[in-house]
Amino acid sequence: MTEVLAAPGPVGAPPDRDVLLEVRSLRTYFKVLDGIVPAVDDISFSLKRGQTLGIVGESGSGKSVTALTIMRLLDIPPASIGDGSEVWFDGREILSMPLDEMRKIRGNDAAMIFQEPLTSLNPVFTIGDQIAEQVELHLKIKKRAAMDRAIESLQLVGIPSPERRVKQYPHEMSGGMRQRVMIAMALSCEPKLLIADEPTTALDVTIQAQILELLKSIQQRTGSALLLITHDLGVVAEMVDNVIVMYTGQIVEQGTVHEVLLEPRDPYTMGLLESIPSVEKRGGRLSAIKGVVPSPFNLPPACRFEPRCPYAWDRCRTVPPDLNRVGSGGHLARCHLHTSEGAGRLPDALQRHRTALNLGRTLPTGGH
Amino acid sequence: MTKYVIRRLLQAIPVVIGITIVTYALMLAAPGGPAQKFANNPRMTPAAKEKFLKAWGLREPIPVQYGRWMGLLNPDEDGIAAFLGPSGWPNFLPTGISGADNGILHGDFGYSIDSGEPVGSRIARAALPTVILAGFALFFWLLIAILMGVFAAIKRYSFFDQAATVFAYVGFAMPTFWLGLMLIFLFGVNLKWLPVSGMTETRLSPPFGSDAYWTYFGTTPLTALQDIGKHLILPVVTLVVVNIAGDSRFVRASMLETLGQDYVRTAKAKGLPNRVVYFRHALRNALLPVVTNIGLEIPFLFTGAIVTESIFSWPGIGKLTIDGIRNFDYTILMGVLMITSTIVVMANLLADIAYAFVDPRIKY
Amino acid sequence: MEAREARMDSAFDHGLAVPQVRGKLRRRLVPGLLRARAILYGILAIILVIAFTLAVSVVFLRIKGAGDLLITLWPAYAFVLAGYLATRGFKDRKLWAFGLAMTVGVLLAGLGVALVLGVMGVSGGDGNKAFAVVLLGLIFVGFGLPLTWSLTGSRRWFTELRGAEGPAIRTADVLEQEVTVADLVIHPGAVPAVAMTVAPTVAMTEGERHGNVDPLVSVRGLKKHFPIVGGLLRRQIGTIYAVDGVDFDIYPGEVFSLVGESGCGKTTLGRTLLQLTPPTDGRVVFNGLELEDVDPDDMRPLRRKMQIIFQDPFGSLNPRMPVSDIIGEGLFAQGITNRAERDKRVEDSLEIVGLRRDYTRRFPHEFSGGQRQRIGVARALALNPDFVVCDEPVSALDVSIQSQVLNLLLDLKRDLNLTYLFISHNLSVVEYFSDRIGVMYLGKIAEEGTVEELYRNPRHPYTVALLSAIPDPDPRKRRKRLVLKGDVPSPAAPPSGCRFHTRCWLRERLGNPEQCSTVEPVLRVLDDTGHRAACHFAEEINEAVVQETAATQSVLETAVAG
Repeated sequence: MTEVLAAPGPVGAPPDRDVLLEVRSLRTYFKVLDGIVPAVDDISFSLKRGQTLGIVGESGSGKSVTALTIMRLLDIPPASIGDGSEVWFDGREILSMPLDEMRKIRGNDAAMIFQEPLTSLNPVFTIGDQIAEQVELHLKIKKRAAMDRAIESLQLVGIPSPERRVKQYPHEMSGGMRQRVMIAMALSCEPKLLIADEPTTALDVTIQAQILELLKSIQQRTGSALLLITHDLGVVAEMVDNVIVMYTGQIVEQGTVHEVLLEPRDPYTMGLLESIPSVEKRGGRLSAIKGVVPSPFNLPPACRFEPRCPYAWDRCRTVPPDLNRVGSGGHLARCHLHTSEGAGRLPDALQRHRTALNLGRTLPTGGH
Repeated sequence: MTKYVIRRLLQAIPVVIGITIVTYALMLAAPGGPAQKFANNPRMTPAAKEKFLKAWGLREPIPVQYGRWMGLLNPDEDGIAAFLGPSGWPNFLPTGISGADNGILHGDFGYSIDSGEPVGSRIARAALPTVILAGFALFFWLLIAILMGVFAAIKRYSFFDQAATVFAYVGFAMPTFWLGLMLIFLFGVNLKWLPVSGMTETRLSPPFGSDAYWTYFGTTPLTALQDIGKHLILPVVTLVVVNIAGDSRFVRASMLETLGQDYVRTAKAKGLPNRVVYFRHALRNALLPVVTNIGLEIPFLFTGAIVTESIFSWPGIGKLTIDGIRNFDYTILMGVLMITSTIVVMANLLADIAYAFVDPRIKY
Repeated sequence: MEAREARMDSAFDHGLAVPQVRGKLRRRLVPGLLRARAILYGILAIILVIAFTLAVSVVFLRIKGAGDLLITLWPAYAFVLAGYLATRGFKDRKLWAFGLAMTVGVLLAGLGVALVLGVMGVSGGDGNKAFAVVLLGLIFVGFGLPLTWSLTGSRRWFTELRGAEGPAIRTADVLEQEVTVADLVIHPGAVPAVAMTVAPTVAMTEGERHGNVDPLVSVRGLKKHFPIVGGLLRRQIGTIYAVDGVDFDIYPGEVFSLVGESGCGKTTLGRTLLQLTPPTDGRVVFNGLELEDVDPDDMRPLRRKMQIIFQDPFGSLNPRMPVSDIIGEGLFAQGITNRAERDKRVEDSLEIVGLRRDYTRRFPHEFSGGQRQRIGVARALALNPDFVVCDEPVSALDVSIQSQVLNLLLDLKRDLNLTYLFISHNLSVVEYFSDRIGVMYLGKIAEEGTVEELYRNPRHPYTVALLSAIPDPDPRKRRKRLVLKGDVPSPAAPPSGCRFHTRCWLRERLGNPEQCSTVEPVLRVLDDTGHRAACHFAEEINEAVVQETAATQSVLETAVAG
């Protein structure tokens, strides 16, 4: 499974046929009043057909922007895409494609589900209209056939009496139902890639469980690849094969879900896992990552996590770390601990991490 | 929905009653009075003046005057009997029951002090020209404003957007009378392309609205229409230029907000072409707040064209108002005020109902 | 009983732990000033009304002469009384109806007098003046009354009428309570020993388990219903049973958590408990005082002992106030009128929550989400409360910031001897943070117990499903979840019998026993740990049953028509 995350192919050449999506050195900038913000900063990964990949990060990490860039849904300007960025989808480079070509892929071969099911559906059209519209466009079929197809896809996501539901407006449905409609819409043209951007964040726990189970079963049945974007490590652990952890627009760690969640090797991922409240940590303090995410205008010069990192040393303040290979597979971490200079510090850091994970650890909080 | 309309109509009743009070109070508070038009008439003796006032009922106590104007009181009786109509039922009830036919409750707005013509028919005669002018102006003004606003929003910060902004501010800042006069000066006086005043060519046709005019209209309809069309151009352009400014900015802001909504992003993610995304998914939502705005603008056009109508001598409600003021024709003024304010109330109600039709989320 | 008195004493001292407040005179002076401000506003309103009357009379209706002016001034007389009532009475819930009735009565009487004068004027020939009087009367009813109300600070009445309040208003509400808090004098007669009569059936064992300590907060049969209005005459056409009969105790020094999905009433419960919104029914006993019986004047110092931290760190802080005012407002009401002293206290509380002392002049938008939440905590703690309701305090925060705030709350609890009611939908946070938990479903407590009992041995099918739904960050523990069907029913139409029966997997498994849809289960004690569950078949639940149910369900059947 690790080869899914293997290093990207040569610039300008398509990746292997079994790779559905390959992102190479992707950079996305935003021009704002105060200057230019690098929202996504040199990201590369690939996703094979039928596989699942999770992108995890906190707000401002650039995970959603990555997805929107892949779908070319960002307004340019204010957004701009860096030179040399490539996104290969199904054997074609899509960033340089004319927008008309791209529109044939959107909703057809690559579909997207968003966080807020209420605001993501147009309030003034019935849900049948909204699904059929897409089917009509991509499958080039008549309105009636498209509506039948819409009913079928509602059935696929377990919505009861879909013939009646297609005539309803989004506001007449509950949050969980709306998210099912979004999924039905995304699946209506049998996409090869499904991008789900925080699909359950706005939902209640029991509804989240419904939607996650549904996504899982649909992904298995239809065989489409899934790119899941979330801040919830629990959701990632349940849903995906491979994980990318992002921090301030960079990948800080990537590997299989077991590697990243059970043996994290980047201090940020370690900190995230340590700070999850659990029953074992009762009575003690949670270990917290100190400080806050740095402002994109004022990023630390070398390692961007250095000011918050408990293991940082001089080198971290002067040399920007690369994504270093951890172990033998495709497990990568952006940390000097995994270079020859940091090798001596690694065992101690891992020991501290293991302790913190189980017992809770005291770190100075706040005060910044 | 029906319940909502009924409730709103019931709510409108006290508002309209309030309007009658305010209208009457305003007329009382206005300096002068109907007798003022004789101020410079040396032949008008105080006795004759008194006779004039008595004849128009202006020497009665104000509540009585108001009651008669409203149709609460029977002008032919005194004392308690004044509250009863000819049939013995209270005077304010509909004519069929009370037998009374005076007052605005019975659709009688009185007689013009100046010409003696019934106020109702005078206003009705002026209404058609106003509706023609207002209709054309509103149609072009909304069409241009919405198109301008939508394209400015889609091509935000583009040259078109900047130009539209400049145009909007210039139009906003330009006084109606000045623009009207400049247009008359340029196209009417200098270039002599278009007629400068009135609704019809007085040399060719009888005055608009008269029986003779309709005979003329029946014999040569095309010439008549062409004539009105020529006269319409300048006042319509004046109204449109001045009014699209505000609305196009409003549509632009609303459209910009809508373009930032999640469902527009969803529509793009579905692979829909821009045309569909903008004009099907975004525009319909962006126009929701505009609907309310339009509802509020319709009555404004009915009354707000006063300046334009006077400049172009358009024989509509606006000109009627100005003439009424000039001639101390209080009954005409009160009639116009009453009708236009009732239209405002009704237009508000219509706007709210229209909103429910375009937005499925609204359930009254 | 003695213990409680001692507690009251210490609470009393605690409240006055502000060294700057010297002697009774000072204590009375500060609230006096605030009350004077309210009265000043009332007088201002009256002056405005009179000025307006005069202006209209002279300019608009051209009425001259002292006698005539006096007649036209009658509404102003009414407003002298109305304004006074508004300043005094409307703030207190029980008095506003009286004040309203008086005001309206006076106005109507005045209007009647005007009408009589008008009729007399008509018959007496001086109709103009009479008409003017009627006209003025109408203007005043429309104009004067709202003006007086808004200026004299009975906004609360309006907000309660409106029902919907944004988060910013919520903070303002709480702060407004504190502005009037100023009355620091507790009347000795107002300390009824009500807790004795509450005699909760469970509290005996609970009390014993807590070493015979009386609960700090006791909630009995608490209900909060909201009316749904509609129809032609805007009558009440339904009721939202947001909180519908809840009992629990919170003991000093513990963290009691309420968990549940959105719409289960947990947030309403927190706010009703603090009397931020009046309960429909039921009792809340705080520190031995029954809040319903406490005189409004005595309620104010109690309010300070019970604080709340809101969920939304962006909406709950007034964006136009600097931090010094957000935190300092409550302190001002506490009697610290000296600016420098107040600023020092604000800085102290900022330091306590881990923010820099020099942040006082900054505005909320200059802070990150975590920092804002710290400001919210500082605001609540500046008043030295005993009991804090934490309403989803970390839900809007990122994981790394969330743990900082949780640590802060735990540290403060330890250092300041606080008791928390922690409201959350995040079961992992609750498991880590609390001592005891109440699981809420549709306005009722479905299950209550210690963390250990509830998580290890859940006895209500809803709790089981909630626990099964928690995503576990350990990929080795991937398992088949037990997924509930459908969505939470509307709290306006809760299902009959057991409220959970429409989504219950256990009921289905047991062959849909009739009991579930007809008989409402009571929250019954299951063992000697105080574990309670409201399920007829709580004993049927065990791990094997859960596993088996999870394995056989189909995810496609989880959406329910409705």
